[in-house]
Order: sequence, then C-alpha cells, then structure tokens
Amino acid sequence: MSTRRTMSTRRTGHSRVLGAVVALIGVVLSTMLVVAVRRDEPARAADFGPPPTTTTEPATRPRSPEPVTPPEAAPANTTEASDRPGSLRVPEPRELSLPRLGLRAPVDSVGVADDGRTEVPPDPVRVGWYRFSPAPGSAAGSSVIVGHVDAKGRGLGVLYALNEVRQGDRVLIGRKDGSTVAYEVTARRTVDKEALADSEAFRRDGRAVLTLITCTGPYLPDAGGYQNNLVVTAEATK
Amino acid sequence: MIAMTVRTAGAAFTAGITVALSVTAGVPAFAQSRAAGDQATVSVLHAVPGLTVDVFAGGKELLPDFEPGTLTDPMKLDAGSYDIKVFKDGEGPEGTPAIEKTVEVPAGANATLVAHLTPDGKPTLDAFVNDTSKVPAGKARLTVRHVAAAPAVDVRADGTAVFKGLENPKEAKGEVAAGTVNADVVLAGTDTVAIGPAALDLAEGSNTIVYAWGSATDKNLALKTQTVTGMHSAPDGVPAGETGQAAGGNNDAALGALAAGAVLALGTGGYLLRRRTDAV
Repeated sequence: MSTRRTMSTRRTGHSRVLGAVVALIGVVLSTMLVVAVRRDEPARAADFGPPPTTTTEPATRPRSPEPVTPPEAAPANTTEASDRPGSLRVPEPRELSLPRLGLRAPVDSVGVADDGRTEVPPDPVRVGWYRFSPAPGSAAGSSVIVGHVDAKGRGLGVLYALNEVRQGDRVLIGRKDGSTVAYEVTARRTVDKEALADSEAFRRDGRAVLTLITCTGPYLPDAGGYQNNLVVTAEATK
Repeated sequence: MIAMTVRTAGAAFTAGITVALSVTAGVPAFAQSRAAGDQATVSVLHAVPGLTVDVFAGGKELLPDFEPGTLTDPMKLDAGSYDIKVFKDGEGPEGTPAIEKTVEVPAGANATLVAHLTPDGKPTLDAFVNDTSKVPAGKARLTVRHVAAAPAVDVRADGTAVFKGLENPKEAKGEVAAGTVNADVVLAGTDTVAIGPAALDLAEGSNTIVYAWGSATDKNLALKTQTVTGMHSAPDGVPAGETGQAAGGNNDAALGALAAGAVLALGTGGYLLRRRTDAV
C-alpha cells in the first residue's frame, strides 16, 4: 500500500492524464453506442395534420367513463335490408401502395377477433381491410386498413414505412374490379391505444377518408408491448 | 272472409277493450342525449292477412289504405299515450274499430306497432320496443317476434335452433356474428318447418327484426324483416405489433451502453478524485 502510494504520488501527473483519457473514452463510447442504437430506430419526424378526432385530444385527454356519442351515431331505421346504403356493393380492396415509399402490399379482408380487437394479417407483408368499415371508395366514413409493424419470426412489416410518410404522399388502393382509388396523406398521428376506439378512426359516416393503422412505440414488454397506434389519414383525390 | 274477420274482431272489442302496454322496458341509454328527447321513433307493421285498414291515432288518420305485409318508414311521434284504432278500410273513424288499443310511446324510444293475429286468429295490436343499444364490433343483433296465429315455434339459423319455444306475442333476441344465415321456423321441439328457409343478411352493428306472421290455419305464414341500423361499435383495438423491433427493439442495448459508459466514466472519475486526494 505504501509502495503504491509512493508510486502514485510520484506518477500523479501521468495518472491524471490517463484517467481523464479513460473517462473521455467512456463518455465517447457510451455516446457512440447510444447514437448507433438510436439509428436503428425509425427516423421519425413529428406527426402532422389534424388529429384523427375532432372531439377530443386522444393521447392527453382524461379517459371519460362514457364515450361521446356523435350525433350521427343515432340509429337509423330502414324497412328492408335491401334499402341499406351498405348494399351498394363498393368493390373490395385488393392492394395498397404508397409509390414514394415503395410500399406495396396485398390486402386481406379482416374482421373482429374473439378478444374484440381487429384481426390483423399474421404475415406483416400483408395488410387487412377491416371489413366492417366502408370499402375504400365509399361515399362516406373511414375505410380502415391495418397491418403489423413487426411480427414474431417475420421481422418488420410493410407499414413500418409509415414512419417516413409525408403530407401529400399518394396512396393507391387497387380494387377487386380492377379499378383504383387515389388518396393523399393529410395527417399522421400517434394515438394512445386506449383512445383509438373513441377516435374518429372507425366512424362510418362523414368525410370519406382512408385510415392506415399500425403500432408505434414506446414498446414496453411488461405493459402489453406497443403503447400507441400510428394512424395515417388520407383523403380521396379528385 | 274479410267481413268475417272484421265481425270477429268487432265482437272481441265490443266493450272497447283498452289495454295499456308498457313499452318502457329497454329504452336505450342514448335516448337521453337525443336532441328531440320528447319524441319517439315509431314504425307500424300490418301483419293481419287479408284486411286492408285505416289506422287512426288519437282521432287522426295515421295510415290510410294500409295493406297487409306493409311496414311503414319510421315516423317521429311526440311521446305520450296514443289511442290507436284500426278500421276496415273506409269504416272509420265513426264505426266500430277492428282493433283498438292504448299505447304508451315513451320519449326517445324506437318502437314498432304491430297489428297482427292472436294465437287463435283474432286481430290485435302490440307495441314492441326495438333494442337500439350498441352492438359489439363484428356482431349483429337478431330479434325474432312471433305475431302469427300459430303455436310456439323454434327459430333455427343454419339448422341450429337459436331461439326455442317462442310464443305469440313474444320476442327473442341475441347477438350473433354478422353475416348471412339461412333461417327457418319450425314448430317448437320438432323439425316440422313452418316458415322458410330464408336467407337473412345480419348486418354488423344493426338490429335485424324478423316477424313470423300470418295464420297456420290459412297456410299463409310468412316472414317480414325490419332493420334498425347505426348501433355499431368500434373494435377494442388494433394489435398491430408483436416484437418491438420497429421501436428500436434494443432499448435494452441502449440502456446497457449508457450504463456501461456511465460506470466507466464515473469509475474513472472517482479513481482520479481519490488519486488527487491521495496526492495532496
């Protein structure tokens, strides 16, 4: 101990420099690692456009026990099944594409799983049209397309590209009758998963829009995984 | 035939039997939030075979020349008590009504007034409240009303009995997966088909109301369908991510790097500080 101490005293200058260098290396190393890791994350620009709901602030609003019932939700009464507007048979969607992002995905028809949430195609290179929402090209309401951002054993999904979507990007829906419906991205919002159902994403009336839904971080494995949905809204172009 | 029916009805109602119906059960919760809270939505179904009628409500003619098998569009009526009189076409309002009943129309309710036959074939009138409460995502509500001069029946969907032992003038309802089902009506507990089969399109978020009407004796049993739409719900969520890869996935690695760096820096700093102290 005394020997070391003597040596230390003798070499104080050297040690200080060495220590400082090691400390600096530590800081630089950690910074580099963090930067490297961050680079793997989506280069997410800020969300844009009007929020997906006009009645409430999705992520920040206190969760009210009773959902707001929009006036158009009042039941309508029709006498015969054939009178329903839904029976106009808008062609079903077949393919989704966002040309600028090189995104192209076949569209499956999906419904509701036993847990009350939407079904999502297990293969993340495919997307699903929520078949109880209006088919794209309908006169009113939000046509919903869902897709995995990532899936077990299958890597990232096609909708991962929505992290790089910009206002004005063209979205094309190819339909089963061979026709195409064109949309233009107007908004992207990060919506608390708990608030999605009460947002306008699933409205059946009002302005006709296409709504693309996937998941987004933070990812908390102990709290059910992804905490938010990424909701991209596009409006039909004339 | 028509005259006979009317005479029978007249006999049955000579004393001007008035029955107040309670239609308050099942008033939908949203009713309170409706702007026109003091009104009700009322449709009328004529399910008495072979009898064209005029329907009067509170002394005013509501439906002239109303033909069997006809269901009106929904009408907005002020809530309250209505004295409903059904006359053979052209005999009202001074003659003897074929059917007379006082019906309570509660504010906000969505109801259907049904002129139909009793189990033993006499004309009568009943008010049914249509369930307009929210339907879970992906589901459809199916309501079946037995308003026919016929014994108890079972209602089958795709060959499976969904409602059993339904009697006139009762209804049965439930929520089923949305879609098309092949429905028929059999005599309760048997495989003897009384009506159908018929394809029913059970639209998601709607209430499809099926009336079994007519007369078994006269072999004119039939189905009539009414659909009340707009009770759909949003799904409970969109589970569109599994692994966390898209969120950078390696949050742990980032934390690890930070921790390692911090430990290294702190450790070195501490060592230096000690050295300095020691040196002095």
